[in-house]
Amino acid sequence: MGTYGYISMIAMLCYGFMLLTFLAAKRNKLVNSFLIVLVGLIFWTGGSVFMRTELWPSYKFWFQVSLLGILLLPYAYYRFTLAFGGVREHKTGKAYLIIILLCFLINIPGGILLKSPELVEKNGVRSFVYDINLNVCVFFFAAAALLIHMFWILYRLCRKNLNMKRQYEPIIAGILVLFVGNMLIAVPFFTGFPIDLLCGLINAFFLLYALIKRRLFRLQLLASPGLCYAVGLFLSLLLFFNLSPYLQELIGQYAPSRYYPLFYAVLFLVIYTAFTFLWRLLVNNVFVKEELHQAEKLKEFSLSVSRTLDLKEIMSETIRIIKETMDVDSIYICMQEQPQGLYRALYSDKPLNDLSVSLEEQNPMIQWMLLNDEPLIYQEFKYTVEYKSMWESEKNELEKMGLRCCVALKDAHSLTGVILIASRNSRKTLLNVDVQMLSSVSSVASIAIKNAKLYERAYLEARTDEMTGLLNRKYFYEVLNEEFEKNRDGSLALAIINVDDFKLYNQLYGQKEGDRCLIRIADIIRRSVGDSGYTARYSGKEFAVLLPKYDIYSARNLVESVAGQIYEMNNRYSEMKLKSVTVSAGISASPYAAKNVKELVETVDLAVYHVKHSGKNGIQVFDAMFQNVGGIQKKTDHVHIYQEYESTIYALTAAIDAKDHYTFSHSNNVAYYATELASYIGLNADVIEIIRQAALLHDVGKIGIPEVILNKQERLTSDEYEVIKGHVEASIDIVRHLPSLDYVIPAVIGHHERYDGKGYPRRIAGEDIPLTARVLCIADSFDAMTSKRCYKKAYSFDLAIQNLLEGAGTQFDPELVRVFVKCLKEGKIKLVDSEFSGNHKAST
Amino acid sequence: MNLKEKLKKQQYKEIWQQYCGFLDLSMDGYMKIQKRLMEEQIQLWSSSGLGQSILKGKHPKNLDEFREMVPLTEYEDYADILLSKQPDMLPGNPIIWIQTTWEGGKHPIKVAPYTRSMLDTYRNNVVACLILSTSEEKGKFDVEATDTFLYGLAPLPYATGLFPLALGEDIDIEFLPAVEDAVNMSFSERNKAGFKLAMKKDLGFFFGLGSVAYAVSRSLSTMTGSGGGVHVSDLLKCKPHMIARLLKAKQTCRQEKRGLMPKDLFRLKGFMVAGTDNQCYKDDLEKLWGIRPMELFAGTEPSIIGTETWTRKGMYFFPDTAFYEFITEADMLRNYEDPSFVPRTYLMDEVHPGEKYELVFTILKGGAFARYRCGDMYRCVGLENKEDETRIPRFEYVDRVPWIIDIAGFTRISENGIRSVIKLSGLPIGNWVAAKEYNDKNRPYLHMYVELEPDALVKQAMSADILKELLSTYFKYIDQDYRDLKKILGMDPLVVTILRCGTFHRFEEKTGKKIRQMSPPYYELKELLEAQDEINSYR
Repeated sequence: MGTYGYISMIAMLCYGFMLLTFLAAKRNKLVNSFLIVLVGLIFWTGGSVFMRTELWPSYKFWFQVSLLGILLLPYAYYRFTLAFGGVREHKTGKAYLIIILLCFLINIPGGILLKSPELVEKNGVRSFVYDINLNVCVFFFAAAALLIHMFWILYRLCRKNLNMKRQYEPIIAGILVLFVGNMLIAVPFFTGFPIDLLCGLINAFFLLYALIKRRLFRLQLLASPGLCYAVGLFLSLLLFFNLSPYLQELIGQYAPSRYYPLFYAVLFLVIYTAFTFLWRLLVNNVFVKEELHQAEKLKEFSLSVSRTLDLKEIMSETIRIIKETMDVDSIYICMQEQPQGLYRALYSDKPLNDLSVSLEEQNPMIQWMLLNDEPLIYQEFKYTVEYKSMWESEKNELEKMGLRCCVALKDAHSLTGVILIASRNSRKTLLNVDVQMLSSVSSVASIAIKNAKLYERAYLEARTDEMTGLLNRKYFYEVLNEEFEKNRDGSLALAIINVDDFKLYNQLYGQKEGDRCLIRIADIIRRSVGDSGYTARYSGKEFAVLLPKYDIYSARNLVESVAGQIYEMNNRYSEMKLKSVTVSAGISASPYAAKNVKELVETVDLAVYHVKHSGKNGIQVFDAMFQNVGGIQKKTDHVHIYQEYESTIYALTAAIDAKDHYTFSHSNNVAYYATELASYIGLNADVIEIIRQAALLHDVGKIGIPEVILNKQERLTSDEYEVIKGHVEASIDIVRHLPSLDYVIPAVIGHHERYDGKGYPRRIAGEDIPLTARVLCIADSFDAMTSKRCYKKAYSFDLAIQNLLEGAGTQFDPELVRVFVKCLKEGKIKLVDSEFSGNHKAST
Repeated sequence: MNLKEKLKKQQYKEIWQQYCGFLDLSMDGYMKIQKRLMEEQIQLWSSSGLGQSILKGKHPKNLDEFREMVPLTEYEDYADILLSKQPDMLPGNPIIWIQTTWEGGKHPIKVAPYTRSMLDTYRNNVVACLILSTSEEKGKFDVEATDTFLYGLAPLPYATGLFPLALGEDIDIEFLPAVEDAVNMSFSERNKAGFKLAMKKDLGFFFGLGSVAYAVSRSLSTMTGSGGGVHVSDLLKCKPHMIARLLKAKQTCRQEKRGLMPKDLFRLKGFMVAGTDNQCYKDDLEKLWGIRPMELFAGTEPSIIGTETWTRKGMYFFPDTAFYEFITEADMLRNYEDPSFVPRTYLMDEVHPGEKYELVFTILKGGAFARYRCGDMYRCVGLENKEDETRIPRFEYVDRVPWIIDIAGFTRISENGIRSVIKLSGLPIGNWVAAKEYNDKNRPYLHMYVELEPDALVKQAMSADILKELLSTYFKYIDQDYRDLKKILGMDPLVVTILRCGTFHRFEEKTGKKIRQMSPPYYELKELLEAQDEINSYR
């Protein structure tokens, strides 16, 4: 090996490592063509190096290898250039390959085109002498033809697009370097120096640079520490091998020979460390850092998800690892939020993905995943029996999305969620390793999700109100104390919003509607406050809003907007007219009105109290003025608003009287029974008044029923019966147009509902029927039974009671029946003695 | 196939055709797209809960009926349903809700839903802008997947935050700093990080509000420091050509005795600005960056609706984002004076060059807003353009409608806003008018001409400075955006002039009418000042 032999060696090694690295990369046309370039270069350089060192089997063999490398290079370059420009390969390349291989094979035995060099020993120096004749031009012409063709394509590409030109620059530079290198061999200055090989190396780096600049490939890094050390060792050895004579000479000048080993050892270590470090640096910077091995990724993933209990973070980590290790377009994670509910997409890799994707629990894919542990490959799933039961709409949705694979997220035997992996490009296929990877990811994620869900539930239960989702009172106090400390130097506003007449609301529309109302209010408050503060359910019908950095003015603005929205919220529901909800709100803020948390809460309470006692429906900012008055002022003359409409009711009942005297009398009786019953079950005066008015108006709809039907002596036909049944809705239609009387609607609309849900018009049951309607139903039925109509006699008092008792639990609210019957028996409620308790007409 | 793949396959012609092909449309072709997409939207919108809340039971069957039945709308008309985010009430399934500030003090935010189809259109239009910003002639552009983009925009939930996300669906352009990092940074942190990265990796594109772009550009010179504040360790992280550029730039600046300008360091491929008052900044920005910014028009409700081209001579509206109608300036003002007057609207093929219009749009593809007045004024600058070979009208952005004063695209000051500021400040201001004016450096400011109550003057100290201080304080109090003006742009946009007591009265006497309080016409304002002089001369 000559003095500069190490250059060839270094070139060889570099090619070797590039080859290894790229072998592990995800293959595509471009990477493959780069590999061919590398193979060509390795053959050429390797052949040349081994020929010069006369390695086994013979230098002639290595000459042929080297020649093959050189001949292969034009083709390799041609392919690479075409792949780089995204141009489809022409036949020219293949033709060249065939011709050149044939020539090469023909040349091997006799050297017709190019003879193997002769080994000549002159003055102890062994050198190779080439015998070149004109026949060698065959090789040159073939190669030149291909290269010209390549340059022509290149020229056309670059002319069309300046962009391309810039990208091709390093490649062209590489080729030029290679060419110049080969020319320079002839220059005497470089005699003995393998300038061609050095230029080959530089050329390879140019190509690598072109590739990296375009960021076209994803590499799975081979830069493990072991490899780095090995490279370091190789390079150090190589260097020492070449440098040792000079070193020995150098050290000899300054130190005695017994220190040689020590110097060598230290120097070697230093150089070795430096090489290792440099190689690592190079590899890390040249190749994309994140492209670690899948196993390493998985390990990293398990570590990161085990460190957190935040569901969102786990989901994004899961998406991240899939995205990094696989070539897919979109990833969706669908979760089942309620048992038997839909698996709805909640997370996705792209923030702008449509999350309206959902799978039913009965979807065959879900059922398949419940039974199987491995990921579901959609393409394979199509051949299963289960696929036959897929709906067309489901298939279309999944096809549109480009679903490739579904991975189950399991908790014991139940399926908590599904990861959907989609790819629109049909050429992208999932490899077996990908599926295995997905399987591992899903099992790690499943456990993490289970834990996070448990934690989240516990966290929420401890801190939030279950129904409204706002903070609960206990946790709110914690937040209040914290925020107070944080805002000692600033301001902190607190508002309490108390829903007016909520008990009445519950009684009017039932508890379910009451709850819904609270949820709506909570939504409004949460939405309005947003990120600027905290919201809590302070007590049953009280909400607290804590606003750090808010002064009283801004807090008042906010609460005004909230109160306005709450007042309007029930207008949106057209299906049933609900009473408008009003609130009494109090506001206070530190440091203006309170110096500590206790004072802040007390002053707000006082402000709320003030509103409550000055007519409700208002917002009061705490003011020291009413601090003293507030406590004393216990009762106000709160006007009985529900008595304002007496005249309207009178007008309507008079109209009923004119049309159908029985209904008028019946309504009055029902009003009596109903109000009595209501007072015995302990309803407050407001509700009793509402029940009275509802009773008077409950049959107002009969105004619209033809008298023929109303007063028909014979049995009603089914059509006629339908007309009679319509009176409930007709009543509502009349009352609906009297906005001030809308509060009687729940009672009127529900008075023909049955406790078992078989009534009309809404077929609601049990406690869902507003209490006022249930009271009215008993009163109405009792009066109907005890009245005489054209088609029936009046029932006796006892028979009527017996009928009521029989209907308890089916037609009537059993508890109300019990109280009513008790009152009747005890004489607290008396049988009305009207003109219809003798011999008269029809009933409802 | 997305842009990235198309670039890889070098289908440049197809790319241009797909994204910028609308520039070749004839007027008929343009209107055909508008009307056909509108057919779909009428169907979607009219049958939705939101549509019915405005139509009240009516069902328009065609465009004419739609324009007849749907009144001109404003955000108020949608607030109830949109602010409570009820997807069932909307014409299309919302993928994302974009947010912006509304009226200072009264309504904190407004939100706008975006459907997937709207986002797809938006993405294509964003790419079109990107392409056009780099082009110097028709069909030629320079966009690569390896380009970098300086993030001078507010992140989500603001509309500008959609830009990188939408672009990311089509091409892997690198945002500096990365979007996920930028979300958690303050404005100045974002700029610093962006420029640091730009120094390392070079910069291809820049997009921001004109005013912000200017502030950001100015901050660059302070960041790199004129006294050589660059550390060697920082230099090592830079790309070699960036180091060379920096060193060369330093030398040039020393020779020319000036501060470092962005153009010394970066060769931008594309530069885009949006927002109001861009006219005031474009020249300076061109000086700083060495490339003239291309203006686009975007808003929270409609997303990106228009863009300039390589000629930088007027904007073209994208035909598939919204259906456009225009109200003439005269009708708009008449409607302002008399709200019962229903102004006539003109379609894109009915506009006249030179005329100023208020824009009314209906968002297509399942959007929520129909015949919506976004409060922007445009001037039609031509119906055809030989230079870029277009045959569709092009417009230039004028300003907001007169009753909204927008300073540097940052804040929207309304009459209500000024009233509540005056009320809050407790200042004895009897009469006032407010107008947007420009200083000698061509920067916009809010000029308030106030007349104080005569009685108050003897009791309180009342100089223009005091008034300015107090009013500014309250503007900042009710309006977050106003606060940002100072914080981000470092500008103090209020100028107060105290008029002699009785000026307004004199004006009314003289003209027989009250002066419009917001942006009164120039000649009226002049007359008001003259009225003041007349009082002077009486004394």
